[in-house]
Amino acid sequence: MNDHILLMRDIVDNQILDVRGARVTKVAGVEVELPAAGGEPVVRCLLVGPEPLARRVNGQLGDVARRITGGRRTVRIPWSDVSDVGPDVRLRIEARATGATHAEDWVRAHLARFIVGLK
Amino acid sequence: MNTLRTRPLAPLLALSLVFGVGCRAQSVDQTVGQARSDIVASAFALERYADGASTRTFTQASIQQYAAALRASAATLRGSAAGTKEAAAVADARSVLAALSAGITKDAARSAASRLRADAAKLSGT
Amino acid sequence: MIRLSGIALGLLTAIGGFVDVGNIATASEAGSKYGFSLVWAIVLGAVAVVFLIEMVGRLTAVSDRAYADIVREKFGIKFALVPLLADMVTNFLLLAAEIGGAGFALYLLTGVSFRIWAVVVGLALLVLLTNARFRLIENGPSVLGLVTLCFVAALFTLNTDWTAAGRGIITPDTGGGGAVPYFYIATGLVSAVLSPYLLTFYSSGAHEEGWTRSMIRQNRIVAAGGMGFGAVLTIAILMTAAVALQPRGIEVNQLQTVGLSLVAAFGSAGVYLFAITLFVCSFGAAIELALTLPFEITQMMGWSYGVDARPVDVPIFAVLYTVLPIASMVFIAASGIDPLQLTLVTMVLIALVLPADVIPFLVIMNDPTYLQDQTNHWVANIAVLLITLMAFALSVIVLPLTFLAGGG
Repeated sequence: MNDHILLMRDIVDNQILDVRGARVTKVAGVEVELPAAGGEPVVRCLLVGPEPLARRVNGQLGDVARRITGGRRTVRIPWSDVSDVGPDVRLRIEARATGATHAEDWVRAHLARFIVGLK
Repeated sequence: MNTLRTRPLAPLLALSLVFGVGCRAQSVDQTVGQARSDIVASAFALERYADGASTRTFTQASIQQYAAALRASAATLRGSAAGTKEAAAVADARSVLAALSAGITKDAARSAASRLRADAAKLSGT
Repeated sequence: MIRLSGIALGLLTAIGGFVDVGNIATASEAGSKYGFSLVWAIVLGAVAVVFLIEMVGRLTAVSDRAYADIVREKFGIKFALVPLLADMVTNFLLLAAEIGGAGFALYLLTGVSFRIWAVVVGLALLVLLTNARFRLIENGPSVLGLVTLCFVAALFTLNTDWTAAGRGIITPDTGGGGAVPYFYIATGLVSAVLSPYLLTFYSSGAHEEGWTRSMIRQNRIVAAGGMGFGAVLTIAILMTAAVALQPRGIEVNQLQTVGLSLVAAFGSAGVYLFAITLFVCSFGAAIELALTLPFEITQMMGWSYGVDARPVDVPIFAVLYTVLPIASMVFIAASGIDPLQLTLVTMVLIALVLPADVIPFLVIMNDPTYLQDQTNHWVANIAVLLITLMAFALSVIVLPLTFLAGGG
């Protein structure tokens, strides 16, 4: 992993790829912990989901997203699952295991599987 | 920056424009000009058909479109200060095209075309 | 090593795929109302599109990323929404116009209402998108689009006075109708030729084909040659209208009048040539547009996409390219808005949102993070920026004047 990682340049809004290189989604935000005893802030996890994304556009939009999703759609991917950063954020685990593929899973189950064709 | 200003503008304009397509504001002169163009175009389409240089379906479809456009122009002129001469010419052209809507023959196309040319000439003074 | 067959195919598809209902509508209206005097607008649009296509191909080849992916990564979700929302509106309307244009072509051949044909065209689009492979989708209609060359042939059949044409091209003439309608069409013409949706589509296509640095030279030739000759076809459409219609006092306000210009040149054959040209160009562009927004949305959100993938593997992408053509088809069929009028309004609207697409793109094109040693030359930056800002300024001035003060 690189020595110098810039949160906004290298992580937030960048592409998350799973262990096999499949597209998962883009990073909506990062959760950072400030140790109570002082000292360096520590990156805990990547944030993914409609609410953290909407909150970055506008605070009120974030509240709306929270009301709709009930806070259940926010996914935290622990930093320990990240294997590499730059330019994409690569994970050690499969997309399915992150829980961050809810949107695609829902559309697949309710809509996409009804599209018939030769593909 | 310019890009930021277009953000609230774009969807609003899009909506108002889409609904405004049918009623693009026009002056009387422009309406008369457009009607003249539509009449001349119908005449030309009919002449080409009479000369055997166009297809029947295309001519019929074109006439139908020009008739619809003239109906809109006539409605605009009726509520405006346009001269009665112009309004009468547009009305006459409309009736010529309406008479062809059931089906056209080459002879009918030729005589209709010359009457349309006469109507168009009455609109030329504006 | 440059592969000649690749270049040949690239050139053919770029030329054949260049013209769409936007080019046909704006160029023939311009020619029928203002003679040769609006050729400059096509040239401006062409210069911009040659630069833009070369840039986006280079970006994709060097960065190994599709354009919309980069917009999100570089500017963040908040800013990325600006071009995304703008493109959603303009793409939807333009797709509806293309479906209407293809439907109108069939109407001219059958006499059956274009609104009914629009439904058929929309369904055909759906069948093609859910079944055909990307190579066929991308190249098939574009090669067929070479039928547009009939407008060049028409110029010879009509015994064009080339000296007069040359004089007309260099003499701006607003035709006594005032500057507002003249610049309204000029703005539409620049947008139609510039076709900003190509940025996302071309980049996505290049990315799906796995372009690398070795494609930079080939891309340069295809962009300059293909888009350049494509612009010549658009000029031919304008000139055909200027030669066949303007002297007869016929102005293009509806699509069948464009057909009349080919009837003047070729007789009955002109009917078929026009209907085929209009259908192929509109349908080809409709396929590209139906994929552009799904590409843009999935790339910006980081979801999976791929034209050749099974729908369950790219669920959101597949649902978007299914729903979008249906929505546009319903819009045009239910409203019955004249396809030519819808096209013209959409073109000026595109000019209005052009900076939202182009300025972030230019910022990316000068960022070595993505382009390494292949960042833009300053000439390319200036040329594209000036043309974009000019089209934007014109649309800002012309739109309110046209719709509020009765310019028309």
